[in-house]
Amino acid sequence: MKHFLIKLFLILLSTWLCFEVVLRWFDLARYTIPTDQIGNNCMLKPGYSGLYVGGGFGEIQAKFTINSQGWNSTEDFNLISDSQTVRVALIGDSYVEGTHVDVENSIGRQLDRMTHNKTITHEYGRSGANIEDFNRVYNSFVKGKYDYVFVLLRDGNLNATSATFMNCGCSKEEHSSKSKGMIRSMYSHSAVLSYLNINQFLTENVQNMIKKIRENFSYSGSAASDVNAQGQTKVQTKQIPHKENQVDWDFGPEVIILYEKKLLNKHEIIQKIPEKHVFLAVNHNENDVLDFGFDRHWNSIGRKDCAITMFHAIRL
Amino acid sequence: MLFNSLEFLLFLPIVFFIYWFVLKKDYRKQNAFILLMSYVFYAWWDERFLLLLIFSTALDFFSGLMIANAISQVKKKFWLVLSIGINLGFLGFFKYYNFFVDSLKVALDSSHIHVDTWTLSIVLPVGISFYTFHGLSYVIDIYYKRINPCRNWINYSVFVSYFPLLVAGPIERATHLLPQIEKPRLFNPKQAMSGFKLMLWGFFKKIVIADNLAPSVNEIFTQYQSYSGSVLLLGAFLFAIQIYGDFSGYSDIARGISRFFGMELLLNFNFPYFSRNIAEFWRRWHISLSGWFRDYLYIPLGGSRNGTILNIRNVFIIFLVSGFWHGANWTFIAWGLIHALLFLPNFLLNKHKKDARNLPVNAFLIPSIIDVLRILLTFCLVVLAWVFFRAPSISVAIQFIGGIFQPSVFEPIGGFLNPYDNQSLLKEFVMVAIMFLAEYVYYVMPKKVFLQTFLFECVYSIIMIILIVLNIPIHSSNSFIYFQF
Repeated sequence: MKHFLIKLFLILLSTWLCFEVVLRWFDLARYTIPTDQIGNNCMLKPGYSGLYVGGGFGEIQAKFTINSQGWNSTEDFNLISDSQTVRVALIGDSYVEGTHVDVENSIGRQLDRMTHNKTITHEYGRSGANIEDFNRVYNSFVKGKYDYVFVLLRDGNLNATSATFMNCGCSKEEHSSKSKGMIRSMYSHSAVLSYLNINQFLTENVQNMIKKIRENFSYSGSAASDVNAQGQTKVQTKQIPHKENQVDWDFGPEVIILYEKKLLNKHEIIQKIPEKHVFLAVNHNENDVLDFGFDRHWNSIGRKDCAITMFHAIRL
Repeated sequence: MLFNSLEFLLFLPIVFFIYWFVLKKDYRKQNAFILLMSYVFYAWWDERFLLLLIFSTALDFFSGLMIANAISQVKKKFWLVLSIGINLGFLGFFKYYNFFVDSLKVALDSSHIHVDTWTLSIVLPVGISFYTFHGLSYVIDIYYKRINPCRNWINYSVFVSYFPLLVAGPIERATHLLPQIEKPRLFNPKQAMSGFKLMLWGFFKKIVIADNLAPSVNEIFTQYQSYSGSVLLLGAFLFAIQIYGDFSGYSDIARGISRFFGMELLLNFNFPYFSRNIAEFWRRWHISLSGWFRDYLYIPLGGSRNGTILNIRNVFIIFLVSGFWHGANWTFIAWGLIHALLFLPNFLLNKHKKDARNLPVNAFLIPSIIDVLRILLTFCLVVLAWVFFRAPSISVAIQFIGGIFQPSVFEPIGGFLNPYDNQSLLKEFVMVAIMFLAEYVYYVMPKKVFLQTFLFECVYSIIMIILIVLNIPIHSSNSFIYFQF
């Protein structure tokens, strides 16, 4: 038994070491972009640039550059008072933040190229942002300063109930738990852990497992609804209560909503916006591949499609 | 609990540690612990169906005792029929009730007789087909006096509920597994290490092969009308590989894990895609199921010892029942029927026992051209039959196969992208080639001593684990196909 366990330990140890080498050699385990506190907002770390890597084999690789205000953009968002230039703001979540494509191929840059730089587009995108964040971004940075304001609204943006980055700060979350800090430190030292966390959601899965164990030992009700006809178990996840009606619609009349087909039609909120101010974000050719398959974020083609929609909206 | 889950990654070492370090002095306690852990393993999915498992176990345990203790043949038969009836009753209710109701309604509607029927939204208890067959083989063996009844409730329960084989087999026999449970077990490092390697190979087949082919297969079978014949043909081949990777992967993982606990499970797959004819394929595919049907259905029906007509009838019965065992759908019955038809020529020419030995190869491990052609032909026939197994209905299967036999089958398939990552299938093809090459070499290689050297074990494990982790699909379901059977 002793020999077997030693042998197994050596095998697992050498596997870990080899895996670390493989991941570092092929650059498959990039760390998430660090955040920083700007005012009371949790922003991406200003001045930070690099390569975003996602997917098991690094299928997604894109350059990013964080400007001095904490947004993913090569330029700082300084407004120019040039009557020849149309000022455009785009507010959204990770689809606008755009770390899945090179920063030079973001929606805004593609729009600016389409208009031969007659527009200057600032993209206020932040991963995980929701409608409340959008409202705050609009009121803090955008309102009254741009000729056109677009909000890219997706299904998921309407489900959360409280802001995730605007007015919530980074530090209180990061320093609230010692274990969280320790886990992050482990990730930053081990490519294997980092890889597993990025691609297999290690932390989230461990948390879900602990939650499930707790539920299994304290729960005695029916579980029939958790199993489908094939006997596959669905992971129980806590549903965020849908409180769409409580979301304040605090945008000005100039705001144009871009949305994904079929995603928002069912939401009441879409009825509140004048019809001429609502556009499908992408009107694509059915043969076009707009995303990365396992990751539904748009690729360059998807973003170009969105830029075309904005282009048409501006010409109105 | 799934083998390829985080929970199981913690569960297995904990069970292993307690089993060998805390309870090593008493195999009875080890058995009780394994039983408890098997119930935890099963209840992780749905604790309510644990009662069904325990009831089925109790029924067969007491039926076995009553059959053995009965003095008259009538009483023996009564207990046998009772056990078989209740077991098949549960199986029929949970698995086939809706199928029979729907089929009856269709039949009556076609005769212009309209009746109101009601179907149930029944959840199929995972593994019911497998543990029911464990129990049935046990009582039938006692009835025919092939074994003595087990008089220890815990030992018998371990036989039925042993967690590595509980939900998707292999379908064990009491004559094979019970003696291993009833005696003390010593830790054998060679057995455990071979189990570790087998388990990794199973995970490779499941995660790297089956899970990565699944999105393409699902896409092609769902959108079959919009694809060319070449893509449909590709889909059929990919499904054949997917189901092999999925099911044989599960069996390898189960057998590997069992070796950690000092118990050997039945071989379930023996390189079936290297078969030279359909009869050989069935000696190598899902061996525990085909062996079960052979011993408990085919032979009692008379096997091949009757006249030609009865022999043919028996062949059809066994293949149709085997198809129906897989699920309540006409597609499975059609799949069984096709295999019966493919099997029949060999059977009638009395060549179904031919090619009983492994594939003969020369010094360079290369088989004869004739054998290669026979292997390819058999594989192609099996692939076409799999279309019925995978399609949601017979009409879809026929349209799918009709789509293959079109001029468009000669069109290039380069434009097809794996929906998982919107990239070509090159990576998947390379992995499939690695799997078949490795299995082929292992299959025909005469000496396998070097496989037990530490250097090989280390290099093999490193490569396997890295490939497995790199290939775990992101955001996708990863249940085993055979759980639904």
